[in-house]
Amino acid sequence: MRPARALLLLAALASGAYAQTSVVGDAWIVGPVLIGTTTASRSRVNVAASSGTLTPFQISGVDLTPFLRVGNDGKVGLSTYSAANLDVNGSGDSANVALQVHSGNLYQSASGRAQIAFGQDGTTNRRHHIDSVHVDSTAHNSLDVLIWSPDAGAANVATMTVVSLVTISTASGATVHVRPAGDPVAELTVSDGGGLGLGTVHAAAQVTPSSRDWKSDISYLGERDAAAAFDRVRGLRHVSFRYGRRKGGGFVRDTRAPLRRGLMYEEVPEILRGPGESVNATQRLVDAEMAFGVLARRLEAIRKEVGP
Amino acid sequence: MSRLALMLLCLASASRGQMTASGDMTITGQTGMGTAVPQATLEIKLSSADAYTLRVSSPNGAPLLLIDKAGQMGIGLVPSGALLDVNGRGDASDIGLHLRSGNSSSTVSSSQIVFAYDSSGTYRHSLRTRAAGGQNIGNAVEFYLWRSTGQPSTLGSMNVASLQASQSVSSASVHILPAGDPVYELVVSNGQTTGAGKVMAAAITTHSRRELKSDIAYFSDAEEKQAYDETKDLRHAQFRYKRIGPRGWEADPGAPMARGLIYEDAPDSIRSGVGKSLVVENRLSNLEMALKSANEYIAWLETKISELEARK
Repeated sequence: MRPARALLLLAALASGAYAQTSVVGDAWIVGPVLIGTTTASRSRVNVAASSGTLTPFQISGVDLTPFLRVGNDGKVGLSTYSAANLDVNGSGDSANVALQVHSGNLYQSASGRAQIAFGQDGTTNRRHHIDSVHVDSTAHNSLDVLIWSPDAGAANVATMTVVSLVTISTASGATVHVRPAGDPVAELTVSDGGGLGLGTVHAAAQVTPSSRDWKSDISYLGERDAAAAFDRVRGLRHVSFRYGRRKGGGFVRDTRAPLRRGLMYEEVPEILRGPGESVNATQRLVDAEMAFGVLARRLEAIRKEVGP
Repeated sequence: MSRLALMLLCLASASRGQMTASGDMTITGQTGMGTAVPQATLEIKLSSADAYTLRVSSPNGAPLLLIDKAGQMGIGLVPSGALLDVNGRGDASDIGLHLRSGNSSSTVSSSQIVFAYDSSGTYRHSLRTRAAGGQNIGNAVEFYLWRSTGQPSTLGSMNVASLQASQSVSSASVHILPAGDPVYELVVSNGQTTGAGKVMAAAITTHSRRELKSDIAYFSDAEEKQAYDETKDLRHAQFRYKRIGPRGWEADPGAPMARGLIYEDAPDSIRSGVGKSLVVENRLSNLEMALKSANEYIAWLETKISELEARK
C-alpha cells in the first residue's frame, strides 16, 4: 500500500465542517457522496447545482482544460465549452477521432443494434438510425441508414433501410445501394427493397462524361461496326413483362407489379450486356444510333437511284 | 511523507460515520468514492444498491448528466437503453451532438464519427467532414468504409460517397466513389474517373408534366430533319476512360474499352451546358425525331417508286 494514500477527511470527531475543508492527502469515501444537496438519490455521487453555479461538474486537465464539463444549462462538453447538448472537441487534419461507437454488427448477424439513433423531440419515438456492418472480407462492409416508418411502431427504431453504402468485390469495390435488396454490382444501384436494381431513378437528364480529355485509345467505329449494330438492333426481341418479387432465395410472380417493356438479358447480344445480368442502356442507344446511320444511308442511296 | 505527517498530526485517520462539510472541500490527492483503491485521480465505484454512478442535477433536480449502474450515460435525461443518450428538443434550433474534428485539407485524416465492430474496435468505417471558407469546393460530409485490403485495426480508407457543396447549378452534389470535382447533382464515379461509374436501375424517368415546364416549343419539320442529319453523322468511337492522377488525367491501360461519342465531335444539340458531357435524353430525342424523318422519307420514296412503276 502506498504510504501517502490515506483517508483524511476531518480531524477530531467533528460531525460537520462549516468553513472550507482541505484534504491534503488522498481521500477514500466508502459511502455515497452528496454534493450541493443532502437528499439521497440512490446515486454513488450526486452533484446538485445551485442557481449561481455556472459549471456544476468539471473534470480538468493539468492546464485546466475541461475534459468533461457539465454546464448549468445541461450542455456537456468534452474538452470544450459546449455549444450543443453534447459537444466534442477535436482537431482536423491530424488523424483525430471525435466520437467512436463500438456497436457495429457482424455481417449476417440477426441481432443488429443501432450505432446511432435519432429520436424525436426529447423522446425515443420514431427513431431513424445508422447501423454499421463489419466483416473480414472484401464485400459486405457497410454503413446503413434506416428511416422510421409507421410499420415499425412509434416506440421502436426504424426497420426500413433507405440507403446502404457497401463494399463489393466487383466493379470499383463499393457501391451506394438505394432501398437495398440483394448484392449490388454497379457503383449506384437503385433497388426497391424487393428486387436488385428494380428501383427507378427520377432526374431531368442523364449525362455521360465525353470530353476527349478524359479518354485514351480512341478509335472511331467504321461501316462494319455500324452494319453489325444494325443487325443487332434488327435482331432484338422486345417483350412486355413484370418484374418478380423476391421470396426466400428466389423470385415469384408479382401480379401487382407494373407491366414494363424491354429485353431479356439471356437473349441480348454480349455487347449490350452489363454486370449483374443487366442490359446496358447506354450501349443500346449507341447501337440504335449507329443502326439509324446505316438505315439513313441506305435510304439516301435508294433516293439517288430513284432520282429527284 | 508530508501526507503521512499530516495524517499523524490530525490524530484521526478515518471518519467512519456520516460526515458533512457545509463549505467547500478541496482534496489534493486521489479520491476514491466507493473504493479504497482508486485507479484514477477520481474514481467512483458502484455498490450493488446504487441506481446511478454519477448524477449531476440542476437546482430543481432535473438530470444534467447521469451515469447509471450499467454504465449508460444520459445527458439531460435518464438513459433509456443506449450507451450514450442525449436529450434534445425538436423544432427548437437545438443541437443534439456537436463534433469538432472537421478537416480543412483534402487529406481528410480526422474523423468525426468512427463505427467500430464490437468492442474489438476493428474493421472501422467512418464519417468525416471537410470545410473550406469562402468557396463551395472543399465543403463535404464523406463516408469511408473498411474492406479487407486494409489491416483490421486500420481505419477504412475507401471513400464511398461524398455529400458536397459544388459549383454546379444547384450548388451541391452527391458524389459516389468520388474522383475529381462533380458538376451535377448526382455524379456516379468509380474512384478513378469523374462520372465513369455505372447505374443499375429498372428505369430512369424524367418528369414531364406540362405544368412543370415553360417556353414549350414543338420542333418543326426542319428541326426534325436536322436531328436526322445530326444522328446520321454521329461519329461513334471506342476508347478507355482515363483516371485522375497526381498530375491530372492519365491513361489507364487497365480500364475496360467503352463505346460512345466524343464531346468535341458531337453536335451542340446533345451537349450539356456544363462538364463537357453529352445528354442521353437529347440523344434519344434526336434519334426519335430522326426515325420520324426517316419514315417520311420512306413514304416519299414509296410514292416516287409507285409513280415510276405507273409510268412503266
